[in-house]
Amino acid sequence: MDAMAEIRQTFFEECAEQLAELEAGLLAIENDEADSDTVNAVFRAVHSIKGGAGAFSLDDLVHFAHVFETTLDEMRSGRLESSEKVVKIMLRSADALADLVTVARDGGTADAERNAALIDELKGLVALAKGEEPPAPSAGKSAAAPASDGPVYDDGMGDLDFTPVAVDLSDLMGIGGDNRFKIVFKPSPRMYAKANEANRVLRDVYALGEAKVVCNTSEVPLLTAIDPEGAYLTFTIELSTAESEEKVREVFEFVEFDSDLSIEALPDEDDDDDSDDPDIADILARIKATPDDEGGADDVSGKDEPEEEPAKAAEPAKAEAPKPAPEKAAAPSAPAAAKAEAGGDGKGGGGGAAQTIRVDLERVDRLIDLVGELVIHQVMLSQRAYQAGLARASDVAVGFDELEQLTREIQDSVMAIRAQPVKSVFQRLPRLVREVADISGKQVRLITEGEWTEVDKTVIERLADPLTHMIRNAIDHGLEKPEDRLSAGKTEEGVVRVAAMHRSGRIVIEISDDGAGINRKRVKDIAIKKGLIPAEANLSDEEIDNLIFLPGFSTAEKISSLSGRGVGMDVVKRSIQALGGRVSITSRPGKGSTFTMSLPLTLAVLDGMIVSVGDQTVVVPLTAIIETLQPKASEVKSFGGDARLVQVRDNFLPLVDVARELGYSYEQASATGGVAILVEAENGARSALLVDAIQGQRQVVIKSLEANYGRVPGIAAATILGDGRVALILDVDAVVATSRPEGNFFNSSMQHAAE
Amino acid sequence: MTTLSPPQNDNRTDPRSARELIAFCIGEQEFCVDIMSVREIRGWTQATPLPHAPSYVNGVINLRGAVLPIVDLAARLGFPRTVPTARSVIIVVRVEQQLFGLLVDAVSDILTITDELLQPTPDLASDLAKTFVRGVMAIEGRMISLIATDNVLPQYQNVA
Repeated sequence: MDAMAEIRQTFFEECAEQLAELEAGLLAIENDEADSDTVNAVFRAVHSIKGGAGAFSLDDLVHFAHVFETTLDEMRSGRLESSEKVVKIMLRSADALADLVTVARDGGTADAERNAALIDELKGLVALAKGEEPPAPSAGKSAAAPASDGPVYDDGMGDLDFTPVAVDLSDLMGIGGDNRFKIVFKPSPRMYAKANEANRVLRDVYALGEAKVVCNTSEVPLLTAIDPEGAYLTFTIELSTAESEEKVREVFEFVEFDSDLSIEALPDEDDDDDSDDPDIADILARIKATPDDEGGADDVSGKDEPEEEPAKAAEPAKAEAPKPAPEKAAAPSAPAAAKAEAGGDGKGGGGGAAQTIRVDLERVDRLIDLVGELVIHQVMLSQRAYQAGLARASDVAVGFDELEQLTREIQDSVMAIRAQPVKSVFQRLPRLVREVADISGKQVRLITEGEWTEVDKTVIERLADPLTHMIRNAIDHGLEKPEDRLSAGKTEEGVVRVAAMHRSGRIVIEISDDGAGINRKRVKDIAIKKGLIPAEANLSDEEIDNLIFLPGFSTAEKISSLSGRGVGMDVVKRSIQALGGRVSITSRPGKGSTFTMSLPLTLAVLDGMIVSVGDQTVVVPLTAIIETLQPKASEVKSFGGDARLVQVRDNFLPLVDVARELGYSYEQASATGGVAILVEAENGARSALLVDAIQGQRQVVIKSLEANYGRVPGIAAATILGDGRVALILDVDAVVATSRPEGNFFNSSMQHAAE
Repeated sequence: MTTLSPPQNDNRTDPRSARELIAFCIGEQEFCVDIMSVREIRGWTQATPLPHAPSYVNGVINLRGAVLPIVDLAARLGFPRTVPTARSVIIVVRVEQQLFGLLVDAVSDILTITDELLQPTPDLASDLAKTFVRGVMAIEGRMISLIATDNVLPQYQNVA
């Protein structure tokens, strides 16, 4: 039972991947960025889900996926145009499919009515496709009996509603042509050694027209005699193409000298089929793209896992030509096989199927923790050795240096394990945008950029909620209604752009809309009305914009189901701060607003400046620091009671005595004896932190104080320094905020802590 | 208050059966905690003070990579603060998911007792002491107070 549950779990994990693939593909189609591979990938995703669902007897899912798949097949074969309307229906179907998967996993009920309606719509599309173009006799579709030359489709799920699809290769492979060639292609081991692949070449040949490939395996020796790096296969290709011989030769350009190649033109209409090797043709057909061919041509007798082939061929080092040997007797597992391919597709082609393993996250975390300890101990050890009088130039010291480099490298590599592209979050956005747009009656176009930007997994996980909030907000509050947009001289369709990028050791995510921008007057009025700011407050534009992050602030005049409960932006801000990030807004009236989130790449380490405060050592996060300076007596001015300002060029900045703020000392420290660190709080306000001395700059491993203790005001977290002692990491925003007790609107960061 | 509440999850066996306690000294007085809640006992190392912490929190130390808060038990019980020396001892205890250290002068004994030996805290004791002392017992002419470790740490979670 457990084993079954595990398989189920894997199935649903894979479903999630397939659904993501599906959606990404459909969006690419919508944006006209699709090529034939995209359509195939989309089709494959639905097919895989259907296959897996069949194994678990998830009949609803199978049924829906089947109808969906049938429609996609029409699109794939080019009979159904991927018009806007069609893609919209498909996207909604993808959502419905995702819902069905969720229902299958977690229980509950799906929106049967909507699904039925969608099924009708999908069927309508199929009918449309058929109606527009009389079905070519060869293009036997779905319900057609098992193809004449295709063996019976049997994947062990015979009694399920699985419809065999006959595949006409000529339809898939593009049009044949007048010129016919006979090509004999015998790769030599040299060719493989140069990382060329017969597989690729053959694929290119297929792109030219209709081809039949015969693979001569007679030279393959017995297994014991086989040279793993040898080449034993000869391919005989009969190609019918519209292209000239020159074009055909071009395909072989790079392998010509590393293989025996002959290309000769054939007389027209040579109708011999006897040399046809269906196996290799099938494989190539599949390589060409679709798992459904597998449905049509899967051979009961052998090679149960055909998709194994491309993956294998993708490893040039193995120098193993695609060889239709019945290697695996395992039952076909469509999701698994398709997944291997999906990995390759995802990386943007290139054929190198990414090899991945699934690892329990806890194991990775444990490894990361241990490596963190290793780094600390390595530093501690070398410090102690030097303290004990180890000469810098000694062999041991050199050894320490090398050890240090190694440990750093280990740390970086281990951290990289957890890094993931933000794509996994971005993928969920299109659906969100569609739904929000539907409810709010606005037309929205979502543009995502930088989805391959990598960031730690925990950051990604915790990014989803704030991002969702912000996008909702951008659509609900940011964008105008279509009619308002038109009258403002904009296009009906609003644009929400989400872009991720790396910037100076952090990940920055920008959410911008081209809406009306923030209505500053209204924001201010509301803030005053709600008593969030004093009525006579004189605020800069920037400060007004930032008012929307205040708890209890909501500008929505009526409460909608989307936003407007006033829990929006302050929650966003807090959850971003909890990640050690910041968020800011810039807005231009009439042009739109941009929210900028800046987050650390990982929650585990932090670049910090190590400073002395009293007799303690404190870490100031480097991200907050602008510059450091030694104040001269003439630059320090008293201001009011015992507040002090420091003059930096033309600005006066509040001087925050860190030792006093943290309660390490009750005396006011002499400003001239210390170092002032200029910091910028997340709201852009600058202050100078007065510390006694700067010890250095270092990457520190963040340790949670909350785990065993609790939050400490002014402290973000702790770390362990090279001497084995705990040092506290300063929460710059909180320290600056508490030092100004006279009403600062932005001191909610008091309680924030990294981790 | 919590003084008379039944023993928490730190006692898995039948409460009537014998249980083991670790006894330690603070000044002249002897106290003990349930051995099941003790993770380890270690020597004193300099702690990093925490800002805005109550006076009975010495600070935090590095316990093999974890940040371990140290509570000066004497100060927590309302006695004068302990001045840690090289001979002071930290008893690392676990309460639910939290680990923390109790700073005491010395560990004196391991006791095996049954619950009948435990007498309610006398009314004389200050409110503060009553919060943390679950009961007292007389063993070989000594009086030993059983400390309930549950509320020793300040409850920051509720504040935050």
